[in-house]
Amino acid sequence: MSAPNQSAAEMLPRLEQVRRVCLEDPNQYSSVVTGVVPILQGQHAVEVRRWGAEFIAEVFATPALPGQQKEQMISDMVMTLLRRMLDTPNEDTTVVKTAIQACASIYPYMFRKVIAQPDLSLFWHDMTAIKQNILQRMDVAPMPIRIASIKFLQKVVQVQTPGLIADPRRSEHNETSISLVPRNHPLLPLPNLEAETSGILDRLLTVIQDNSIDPLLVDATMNSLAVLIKTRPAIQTKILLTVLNYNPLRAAGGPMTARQIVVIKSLQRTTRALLRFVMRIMPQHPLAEKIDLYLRRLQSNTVNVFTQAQSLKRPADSVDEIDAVKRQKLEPVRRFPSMASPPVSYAQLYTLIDNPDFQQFDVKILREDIVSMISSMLMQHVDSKSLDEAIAEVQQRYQTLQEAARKSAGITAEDDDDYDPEALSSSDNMVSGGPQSLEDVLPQPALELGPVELPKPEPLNETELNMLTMQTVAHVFETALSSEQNSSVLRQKLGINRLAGSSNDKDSWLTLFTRLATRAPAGLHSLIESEVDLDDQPIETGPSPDHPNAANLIRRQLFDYVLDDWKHRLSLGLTWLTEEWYADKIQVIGTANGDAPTTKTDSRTPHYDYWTRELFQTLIPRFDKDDHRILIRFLSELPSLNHNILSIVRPLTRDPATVDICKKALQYLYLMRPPVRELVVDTIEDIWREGDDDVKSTMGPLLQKWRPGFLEQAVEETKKEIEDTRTFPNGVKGEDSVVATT
Amino acid sequence: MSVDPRRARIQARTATPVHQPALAPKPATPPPGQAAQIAPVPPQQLDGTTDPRPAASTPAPPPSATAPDSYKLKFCTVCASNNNRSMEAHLRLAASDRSYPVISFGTGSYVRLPGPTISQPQVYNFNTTSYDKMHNELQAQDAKLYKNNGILNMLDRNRNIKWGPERFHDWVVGKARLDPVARGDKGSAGAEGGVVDVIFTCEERCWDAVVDNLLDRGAPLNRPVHVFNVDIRDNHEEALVGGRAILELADNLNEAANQSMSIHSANGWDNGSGVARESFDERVPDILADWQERWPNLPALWTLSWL
Repeated sequence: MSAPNQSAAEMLPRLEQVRRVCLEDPNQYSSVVTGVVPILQGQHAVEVRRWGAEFIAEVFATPALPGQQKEQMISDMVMTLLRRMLDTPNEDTTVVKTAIQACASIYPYMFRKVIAQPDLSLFWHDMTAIKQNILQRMDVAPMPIRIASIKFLQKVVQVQTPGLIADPRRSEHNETSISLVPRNHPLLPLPNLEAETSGILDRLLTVIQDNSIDPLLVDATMNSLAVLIKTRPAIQTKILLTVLNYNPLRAAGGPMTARQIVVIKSLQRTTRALLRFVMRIMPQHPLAEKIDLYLRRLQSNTVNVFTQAQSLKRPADSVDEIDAVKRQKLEPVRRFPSMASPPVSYAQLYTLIDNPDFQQFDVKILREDIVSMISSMLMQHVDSKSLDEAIAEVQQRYQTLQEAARKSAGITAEDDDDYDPEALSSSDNMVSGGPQSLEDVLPQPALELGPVELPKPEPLNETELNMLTMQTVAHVFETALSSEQNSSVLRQKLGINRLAGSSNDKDSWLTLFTRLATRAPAGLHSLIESEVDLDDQPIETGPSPDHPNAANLIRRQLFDYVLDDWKHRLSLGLTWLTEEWYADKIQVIGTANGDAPTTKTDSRTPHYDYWTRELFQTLIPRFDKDDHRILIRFLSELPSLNHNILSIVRPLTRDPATVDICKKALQYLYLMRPPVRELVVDTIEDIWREGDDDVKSTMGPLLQKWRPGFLEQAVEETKKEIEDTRTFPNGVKGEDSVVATT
Repeated sequence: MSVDPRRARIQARTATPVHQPALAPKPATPPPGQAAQIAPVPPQQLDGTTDPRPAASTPAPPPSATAPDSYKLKFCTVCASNNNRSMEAHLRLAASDRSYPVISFGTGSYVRLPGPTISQPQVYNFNTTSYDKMHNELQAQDAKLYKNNGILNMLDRNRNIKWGPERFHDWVVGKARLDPVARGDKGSAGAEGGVVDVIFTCEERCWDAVVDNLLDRGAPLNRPVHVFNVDIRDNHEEALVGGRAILELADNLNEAANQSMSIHSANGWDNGSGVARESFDERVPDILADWQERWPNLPALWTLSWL
């Protein structure tokens, strides 16, 4: 081909021709490289050396060749050529830069080659030497070389960090990374590689860590990091945290030159582009929220920087004290217009705006409620600093007025010894000031204002009271239940440490309601009753649920609420009834402490009994044949059962579909709640007695088991009854006997 | 992501657009020579012309400083549909005195051209539809309409520049581009390696798309690339102005690259002094800042990315 001593002008066209051949047919690359590289080894003009570096870089970067072929093309000659380009002192910057670029492309292929052939120690040593060379010169080299080195380091980090193994069986399909290196590789000891990589990564990130404002280094680094973030989970977080600590606007502030603006915009947009890219490819990343926050902050800060920069384009020159003529007005602009010269009215004293339209606005045309609403809203949102300033302004005005008044008063005093304060205060619409209080000084309407006392509202009558109570309860209920859904997850986590009503969710509100209904007014009602009628013992008077006091209204609301979706809200119902029971018990104890305890009242739980009956009776017709679990739960979780309550289940037996769930519930109670066994058997007995043959056959076995002998006795009784009926045809006797056993 | 050229058409009809100054205060009058040139130039004249650069708006690098065969930066121009702005700039760069190597792309998902009504744009695929085909189709459909809105002129210009619109995301960086050379596409000579040194986008969205796409590619070539945005409104008139501005920026960059090349080659990089000693890369921010002061109505953006 070409002899070493040919001039650049002769060589370049021919080399370019060779390159063209390769571009046309990539398969020619390997033979061309073998032919061309020895030629490039010689001493050549800088143009040829540049071409050589460019060509090597192109060969190992071209997407037209598969990786395996590139691995094969790595040869002693190529490595020697590259080393010479890098080692020659005062080598042309472009040559060095392009050689580093080529090294960055070769590195992964070299690494893969060495993994497969551990005997290639010479190659690897060449590569290591190149790496050292680049690392050493990196901080002092001319900018193009530093930029190329950044990419080289990034490539080294990428190769020497664990990557994704797509298919462990076919290593040629996997991306080159440290994951491919076997544990006992003689040339590539894993711990050393890892340590080296960590160091190189730190080196790469130094620019960002130091918050450099060199746009070339920062942009080049930022733009090279994307692939590491994307494909190397092991170092993702570290890189992202470093980037998130970077402030591209650090150089901003004050007046900026055109170059500074270009640089700041570049840094800001490059950082933004990288982070947005990260957000796009990994929206679920743990740091996503932080990145989002960073991006928003960056956005607003950028706006600030550039708006400030614009307003500061021409800063005021430093003021020359001597040259008063040229002195600029540096005082802040007065925020408030000056007051008209005295005499002034109250309105003028307090007017801090200068817009005549607003000044003429008559507030009186607004309705009072609107005014109060607006003022309260304004007071909530007013900037306290502005308010302070406004107050200070008014204060100052007032002081000025006082001064003026004092002066005029002094003059008056001099002129006229007959100093009459009345004369001053009587002049209408004049603020003459003086040592008196503002009320004395400022213009007063000619009428005496006594202390204002609003008329006391008329006491509410009972209807109004009830209506208002009802409205309040309904309103609170509505508000609370529209609050966001229950926080069952949270509650489960808290376990026993939970406070009943500590958060603003539905559960807490419901807890609050049950307690409001049961505990808050406990005793109040009865106190009133007792006041009204001292003879009547308060606790003895049963609750009058129709009495529309607050507690009963809440109860009614709770009742309706539970019924609305009774299957799901039954637990609320149970909680509520338990609260009722507890409150009733507590009240009994309270009463017992105060008054003489009566055995009769001890067992009374009037509210509980009433509302349990009410709820249960309402629910009974709703039970279906599949609802045995709900019934069992209801009956077993009620804090207290008595005959009245339990006998409410009887209607269930009238329907053949539900007789079974009734039986199951009673069985369960008998087995799992021993204290009410007798009660259960009594109830079964009642059911048996009044039921038809089907019910009798269903309940018969239970009675047989739990009340032995009853059935026989019953049969005998029946027989006797029939006989009696024959004797007493009106059947009175028979009815009596049933009542007696009930 | 495509630009809606219909808007541009409406815009062009209504009034001469006024740019918002982004970086520097807007001068009361446009750069000298600019207004005078915009008005009378019908789009037809763009074809194959070598418009002399307005002398007043350029700081005038001496033409003799760079020989025609000296080092040339390789450029890439990008807009949304690879039809109006990027093609205007493509033409300017390729047809300039220095005949820069240029390739051009669009970042949209489809090529969208204004259709008969605002809700019926003409949509074509990137990479597989030629400008010639679009031109002939539209001419057959409604020659008058597409002549009046300038689309036929534009496509006619484009089909004389290169074969068809290409999508940026489908560009395989580093893949040989010999077909364009064989076809004689303008600017293809020198760009056969499939790599560029500088990318110009014509809209901020395109800049974002390009930078994001380069991040996504992971820089397989390890080759630095300067990505500029020059914000140009999507209409024929603004495309002309923008094309001229891009050419000026390209000239300035190329000159700096040449200077740094010659200094670093002849005497070693440690000779020379001051600005001249700085490498091309280092001078980019300054060049852009200077350029921006001359073109305050075309807000610019820049980063150094990787191919």
